Amino acid sequence: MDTFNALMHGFSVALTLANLGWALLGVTLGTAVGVLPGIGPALTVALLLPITFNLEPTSAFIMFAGIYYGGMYGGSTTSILLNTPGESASIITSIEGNLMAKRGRAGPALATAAIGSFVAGSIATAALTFLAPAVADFALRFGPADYFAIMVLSFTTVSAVLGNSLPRGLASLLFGVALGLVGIDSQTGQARFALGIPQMLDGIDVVIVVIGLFAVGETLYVATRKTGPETMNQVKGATWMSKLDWARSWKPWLRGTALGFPFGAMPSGGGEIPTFMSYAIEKKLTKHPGEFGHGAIEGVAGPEAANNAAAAGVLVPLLTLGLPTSATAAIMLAAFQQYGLQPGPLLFDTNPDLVWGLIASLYVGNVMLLVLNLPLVGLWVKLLTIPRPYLYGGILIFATLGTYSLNNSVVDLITLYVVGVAGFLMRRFDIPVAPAVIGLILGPLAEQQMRRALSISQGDFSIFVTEPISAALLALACVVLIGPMIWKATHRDKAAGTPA
Amino acid sequence: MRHRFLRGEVLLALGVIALGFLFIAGTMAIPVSTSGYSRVGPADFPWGVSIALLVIGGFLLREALSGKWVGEGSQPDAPPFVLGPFLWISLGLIQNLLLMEPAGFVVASAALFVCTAYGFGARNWIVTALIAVVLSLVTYLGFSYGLDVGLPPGLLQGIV
Repeated sequence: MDTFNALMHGFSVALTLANLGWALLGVTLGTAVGVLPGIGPALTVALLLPITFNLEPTSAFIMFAGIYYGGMYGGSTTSILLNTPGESASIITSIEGNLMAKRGRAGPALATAAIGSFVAGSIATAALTFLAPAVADFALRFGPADYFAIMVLSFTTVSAVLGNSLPRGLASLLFGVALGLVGIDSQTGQARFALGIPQMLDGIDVVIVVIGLFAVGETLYVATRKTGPETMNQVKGATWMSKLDWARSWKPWLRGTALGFPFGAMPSGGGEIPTFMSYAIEKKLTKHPGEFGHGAIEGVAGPEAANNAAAAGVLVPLLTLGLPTSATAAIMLAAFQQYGLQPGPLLFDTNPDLVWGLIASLYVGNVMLLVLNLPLVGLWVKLLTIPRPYLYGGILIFATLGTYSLNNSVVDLITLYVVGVAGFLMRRFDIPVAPAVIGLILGPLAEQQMRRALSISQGDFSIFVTEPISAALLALACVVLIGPMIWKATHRDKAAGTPA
Repeated sequence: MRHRFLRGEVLLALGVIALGFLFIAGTMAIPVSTSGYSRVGPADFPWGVSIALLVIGGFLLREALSGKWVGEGSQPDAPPFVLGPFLWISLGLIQNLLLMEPAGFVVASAALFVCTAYGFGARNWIVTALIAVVLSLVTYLGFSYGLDVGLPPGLLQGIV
């Protein structure tokens, strides 16, 4: 009942005219950047951070949440029509979705993606509404050692899950953590790794790193790959789903939601895994197995739902523990820090307007997105016709603008270029960039919690294994880190042991 | 099948190892007071990170030397890397940071736009330059007067 009242209060915040306006602006922007290749929600929020400094935090977060959800909707449009998925979680959608579009079934594919996203988003937001306060309650018991342990767990899962290889994921993570060390140590005031440059004493802003990796790095990467001209599928034929399409879509939507939300809510990083799993399950359960590989609607409906449900799930650890598990969540944590707010169990008590206004606006945003995406999809598709040279030229103008306006400092522009080249190398050599962003923002927090825990225990490292919650979380992290290696080793032994 | 020697990947792994050594040097430069109350000082966490960088760099090197680095860049059918666009976009970004304050946002951004568009293959100079100037000017005016974000006027000081 408490949660219900709190949610109603949230709606009273979210449904004010001004906040409806911010939500609408957010979902519109979000859909646009989701559709456009080369920019995503993380970059957009990063670019907006410097100019939302004077905005009321609740309104800003309602807009950011709109961008976050909108990016998921828009991303599916691009992956269906262009076969260049805007973000990793829509890779799977692009398989069957693009094939459907090639067969002239772009309309139903877009419709099942949009409606599936709406269904999944709404159910998952409801789950978030009731799960988040419970997790927050539990998290009140967390001490510094436990926080450190859950961050270590988050580090390992994020590195293991994103990308193709654990060492490369960890390299990306460590790159972020190392960048996070630069600047004045918050507890002793010692300068670290600042190279004598005064501007470096404040540390490297996460906004610059996100813009560098996602805008500059991505632009360099796309520009230096010599590929043929891409072909866009036109939206033709029936744009609405037939009765059969509905009958084939609703179960995948629900199964996708059931997969996506828990995966997102665990401190494990993003929507990739549940979309892969959803695809595999739908392929197994379908009554039309012949259509998989030629554009099966189940292969769009399930993964799209899983993707959106995971997006809602990611907000659970972010709001209740201050633990980001995706790049967008990491930049939202930076936004909280910009306003001097610390997400965590106490946020529900200290800023109920913000938390519940934000959650309520997710329901509102989902409805707006359904309206924006179903009838207006033709309008969004027009965005894809912007010539690439001009699109990326514009992206870089806004990238340098956002970076420069942070501190009016040219040093930041130098950092931007250096990080951009690093981002290019990471893209080129298939190193995931999201762990770097998460490491940068979470690294300093992990260090702080570690040192707090160790000053409680007077320097005794055994505190991390004698506190039960911490011990359990660290054990889990070890399993994530070493488990696959052991599995692989034993598997190989077995394979070698069987006579050929 | 023989493993392919992945030169770029090897260099990248060596780069990570070099970064580890750089951070060790940086960590040793952090002054640590031995008489403090807290037994964990400002250098301990950086030590951990530096050593972890070295270890991971080693794993990456093994992955690269054994040819097991599976990724788009290492696929035989991967689109070839072309240097030209990289240089053009770099030129755009470097002139941008050099000209931002002396010449102003509009000039630096318009030049960045032109360089980037050229790097992406735009060859219609007139159209590109026109879009570059209009976009930079509109952005400048919008941010300066609409959003109150101060951007350097540079050469346009007193004109707009």
